Formats: sequence, structure tokens, C-alpha cells
Amino acid sequence: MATTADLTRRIDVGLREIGAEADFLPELAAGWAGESAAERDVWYLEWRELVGRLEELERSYRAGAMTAEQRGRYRELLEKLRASLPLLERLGLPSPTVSLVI
Amino acid sequence: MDEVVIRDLDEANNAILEAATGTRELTSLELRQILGYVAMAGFAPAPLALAGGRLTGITWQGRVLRGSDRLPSAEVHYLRHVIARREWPVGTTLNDYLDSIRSVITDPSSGVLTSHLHNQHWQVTVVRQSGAARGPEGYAWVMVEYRVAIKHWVTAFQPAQGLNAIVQDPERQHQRWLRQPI
Repeated sequence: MATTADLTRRIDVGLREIGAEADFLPELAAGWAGESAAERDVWYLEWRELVGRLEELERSYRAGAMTAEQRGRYRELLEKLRASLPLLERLGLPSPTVSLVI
Repeated sequence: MDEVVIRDLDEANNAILEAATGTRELTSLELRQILGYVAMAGFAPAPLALAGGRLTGITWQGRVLRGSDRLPSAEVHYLRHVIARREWPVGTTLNDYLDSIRSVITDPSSGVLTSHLHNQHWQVTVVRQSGAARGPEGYAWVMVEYRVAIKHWVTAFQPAQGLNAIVQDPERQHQRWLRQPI
């Protein structure tokens, strides 16, 4: 049975991992042409997975399961992802499926 | 003792491609032997993979990683999915992670799906319920991706959206289950 502490930690991990990869996108883009097709596809699969985890965060946000601090970080993450959309499109990585405006 | 019908990984790859394109129906013995070779393929030892954002700041083998660092692919996936996000149980070592992947590939209850990623590269996806492999931040299924062209695994993690993450991916064309998961 998941506890509130488990859920809080899970949300923290999700916010951290998606935010960290979003921060890394410009660097990834800079070296993208030098990556093998296999590596670029791994980034596709892994980024698609992060998009799936973002949906989980969205549900937690809507359900009021985030702390006030997490809600602030979630809004910052959405802003960061909104700014990253052109880069995601250029790299052929999946765009977030949740609304980036709240 | 089973008769050997698939002799090596090259033959396994040819059989996978024939099955993926519908020109051959594999027997359960053939599929089992193919998966035996796939299980031994491992992650590609080269080229080294980018650590990426998730590993930034993690200490590994005495150094603090930066996103631009390059590491063997097996280590990158281990650090992302076992250490940074605890999809596998706490205490899972790199060798435990690799053993866990091998056991998913060879488990007769696993599902085996072929698809043509971006309509360019054939991949085999092996899925099994995570069971004892599920860690604190894990999910219900384990997914292992094997890329036919490079003859190696390319990633293995526990997808948040389960099998839907795979079968509903619009970039996976020509999907065909060689065996349905139990």
C-alpha cells in the first residue's frame, strides 16, 4: 500500500528527472548530428517514457496530491517544457501530451 | 535435450526479420532459442552513451557525473532506471539489473513484439510483468528493447503506461506479437 510519503517521493523523482532532461536538451541538440541512429532512437524511447510520467504528475497536480512546493516546481517544469517545444520538434522527440498551460 | 534449430545470433536475427515481416511463423522451440541468443546479446559496449540530464550530479565509480559524460550503455541505463529512479528494488547492482533483463527475455511468460521503429529499424520488445523486479518507483511491466541491426539491447525500463506505452506508440509501425504476454 503506497503511503503519502511514497507518493511525495515519487512526485519529487518525476519532477527532478523530467526537469533534468529538459535542462539537458540544448546540449543534446548540439551533439545530435553526431549521435548514431540507435542512440537517437533510445532518446526517443526514453523521452516518450518521460512524457508518460509527466501525465502521472499532471494527475497528481489535478488531484491535489502535490505539496505547495511541488506545485510550484510543476508549474516551472511546464514553463520549461513549453520553451523546449521547438527543440523537441527539431530532434523528433515526442511533445508532452498534457496541457502546458495551467 | 532440444534439437538446435537456430545456430547463432545472426540466424536468430534473420528469423526475427522473417517473422516480423510475416514470411515465417516461428515454432515455440525456434522462438525460445532466438530469445536465448537475444538474452546473451547485452547492451552495446560501444559507442559510449551520453549520461544525459538525469545522471547529472550522481556519483558513479568515484566521480560526479555531468550530462555530457559518456559511459557504457549498460551503465547509463542502470544509473537512470535503477539508481536515479528506483524502478528496481533498492540494492540492485549493475549485474543484478543485467540478470533481471536476461530473465525477462528468457521467461516463457514474457510477450515478444516486433516493430519497425520510425519505419526504419526493426526492434524486438520483450515485456513481462515486473513482479519481484518492481522497486519503490517502478511500474507493473518491464520492457526490454533489442535492436536487430546492431545486435544488442538498447534500453530496459519499467514503462509508466505499461503496454500502452508500446502498442500505442505511433512511431512503431508493423507491430506483430510473436508471443503474447501472460
